[in-house]
Amino acid sequence: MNFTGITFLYFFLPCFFAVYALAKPAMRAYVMLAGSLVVIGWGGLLGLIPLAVCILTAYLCGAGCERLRENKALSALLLWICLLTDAAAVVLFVVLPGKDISLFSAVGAGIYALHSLAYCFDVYRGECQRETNLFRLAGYISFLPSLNGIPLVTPKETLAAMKAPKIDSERLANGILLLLFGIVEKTVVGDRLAAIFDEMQEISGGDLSMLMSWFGAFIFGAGLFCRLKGLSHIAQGFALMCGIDTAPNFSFPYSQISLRDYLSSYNISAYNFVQRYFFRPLAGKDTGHARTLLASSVSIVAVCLSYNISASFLIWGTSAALLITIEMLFDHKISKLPKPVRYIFTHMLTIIGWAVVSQKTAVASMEYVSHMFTGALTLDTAPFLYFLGASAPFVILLVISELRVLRSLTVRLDSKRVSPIAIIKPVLTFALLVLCTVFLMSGALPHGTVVEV
Amino acid sequence: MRKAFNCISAALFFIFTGLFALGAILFSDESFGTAPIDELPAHTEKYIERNFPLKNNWRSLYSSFITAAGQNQIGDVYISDSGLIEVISKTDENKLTALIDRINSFAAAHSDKSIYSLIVPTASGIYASELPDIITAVDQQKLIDDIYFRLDSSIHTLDAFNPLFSARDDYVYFRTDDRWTEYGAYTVYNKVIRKLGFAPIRLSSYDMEYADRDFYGTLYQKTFYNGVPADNINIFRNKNGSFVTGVSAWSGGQEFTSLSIYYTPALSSDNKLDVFLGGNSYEKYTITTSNTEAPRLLLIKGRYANMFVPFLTPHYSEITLVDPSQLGEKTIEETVDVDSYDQVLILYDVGQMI
Repeated sequence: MNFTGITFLYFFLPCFFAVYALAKPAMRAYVMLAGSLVVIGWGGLLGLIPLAVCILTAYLCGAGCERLRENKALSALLLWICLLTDAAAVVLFVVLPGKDISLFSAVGAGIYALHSLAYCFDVYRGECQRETNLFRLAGYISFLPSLNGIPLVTPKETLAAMKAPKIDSERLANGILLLLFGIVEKTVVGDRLAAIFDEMQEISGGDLSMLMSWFGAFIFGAGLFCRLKGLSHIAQGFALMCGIDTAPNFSFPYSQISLRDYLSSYNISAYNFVQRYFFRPLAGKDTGHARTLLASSVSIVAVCLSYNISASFLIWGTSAALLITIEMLFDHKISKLPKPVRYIFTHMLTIIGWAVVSQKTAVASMEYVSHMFTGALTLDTAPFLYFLGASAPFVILLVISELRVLRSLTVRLDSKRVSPIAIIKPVLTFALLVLCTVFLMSGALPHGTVVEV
Repeated sequence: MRKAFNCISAALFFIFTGLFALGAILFSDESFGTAPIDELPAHTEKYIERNFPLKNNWRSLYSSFITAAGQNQIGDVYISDSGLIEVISKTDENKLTALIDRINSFAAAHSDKSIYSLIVPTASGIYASELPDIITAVDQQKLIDDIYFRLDSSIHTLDAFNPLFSARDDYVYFRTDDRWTEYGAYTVYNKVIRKLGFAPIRLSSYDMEYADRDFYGTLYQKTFYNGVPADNINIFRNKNGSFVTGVSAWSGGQEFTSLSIYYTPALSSDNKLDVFLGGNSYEKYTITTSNTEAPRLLLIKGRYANMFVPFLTPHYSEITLVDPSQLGEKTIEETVDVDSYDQVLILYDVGQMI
């Protein structure tokens, strides 16, 4: 079930929440599990098989790892079994039956495999206690708010929160607002920018001028950012409605002045996941510079591949790893550069990165990037102005949402005794709901489809 | 205070969503039906989309938002100052070649007949200059020339582009539909009928009846854009009276008869343009006229033909229209005796050909 669909917003969410709110706090994990089963089963009953496999491997391997904690070799073996079984389940039941390994579907389908792995790893390292309640563990593995593929949640905090989640009016109202805001970010801004980029590609026929190719890559990156951020807000809002706090997944990446900061503030949960389960085991306790750099590079490639398994993303990951390694090696010199220079340099590199992943094949990616440097120097005013005009309202919305000052102003206003934010919340909720419905209803049919009147 | 506003927010959300969800279920015009278990989710989602309360208002609001954001195109429909234009930006060369081959084969099989071809441009071709430079619409004049060049030389080609282009400031295309108006059809008739061997009947010989002043066509149903005024459906009635003595139409083996080429009950239906010959759902139509000595015409029709036929009736004793898209496995020869007609006219619009 698509979380940005009418069926979810108007049917599933109210029904699910009615049952969830009426259930006793200790029983809510079961309701959440039932909700996850409905959502996964809605997309295809076959999807329940890898989920069952991931739950069972996590439960058994988690129990085994705790019992065999003294025997490092055996518990490590169990961990490998968990990893291979989960991967095999996803490959066999998600990838091979023909579902595309695109950004949302692969991560969405693989989210329970990653949760299962994270849980076993934490139990293995003693950072999380074994969960004895199979259903609560299943609720974490298939964590309902994350089923649209983002964000990954940590086992320790989530399992603790799921024991007896409490619903209060503040969390509920904020959760609803965040969820609706996420839908607007994705469908109104992200999807529109993605459509504009597709239109640019179609009109240019792959022969973009230098100016248009830079602008196109920026629009693609902005569109992808809004879609991911929107999905994160939907998940965060949904979890908040259910009484579970999750950390923000984006932290103003557009205002960062280094590639490392950009990467660590963009899809934070994926970054932390790779940091925790790839970087640290690879880097080990060795403080050697070379091993740290190698571990860091492998982790960056893993982060990039977590979005999509394709040659373009591999190129993107490898080049990002290389650039960040250079940035780390020459950190002392780069930090002496003026901030505006660092800002421009960082964001030019990220735009090139988006150009790489905007294309379906590696060859097309390379061609696109070459246009950015060798494309015609013509100032193709008409198409540029057209696309600038078409994307301007959405880019302005993106810029506003990325203003730190707006966030701090909101926090400051909300902390007042008579909060204006609290007063306008009902109006804002209603307005966002109307806006969501407008775009979800129109997105329900492809544009240009005749509707029976 | 804060708690009260939070409660209002949450209550507003659940009341609104709950009422609309109930509305979609309780006030639905259609039954849910049945579907296999694996198709149940898709079936349910489509059912909800079709029955969601105020669905057209939501879509209309969407168009308003999009146009307010400075975009003049919704899907393949461009919103111009004068109306909605369906932009034809691509040609399907395989489809076009197959159609040309079929026409040429037909001409070769009936080489003794006078065969005429009339390919009508759509609004996208006539109003191409109104589209922004960035929208690459197919050059329909060039395309029609190319099609005519590829047609067998025995086929007489008729020019619809230039008459329509000359009259582009008049009401030749609907503002909210992708077809031509009755006046657009007359404009072309006035120029091409001489090639068919007749003198045109002057416009002043017709009374124009406003059959409907509140017509919203298929382009409106694609966009729900309210910024364009409703269309008029005009019926041109010959001042000397109708020449038509009877109309028969066949669909699925059933014959439907009428005394007029205008099916006026359609004006109170959702498909108001079906007022012309009852629409495009018949495989064959036969129109007999009081001009019993006049020649007989076989018209191989596309979507634009129904509006063109009223102007042909004074010139022929019988007009038979065959719609190849409705024939299924049958051929034209299996449907009509081609040899019994004096002239054959193939009338298609560009949108249907590519």
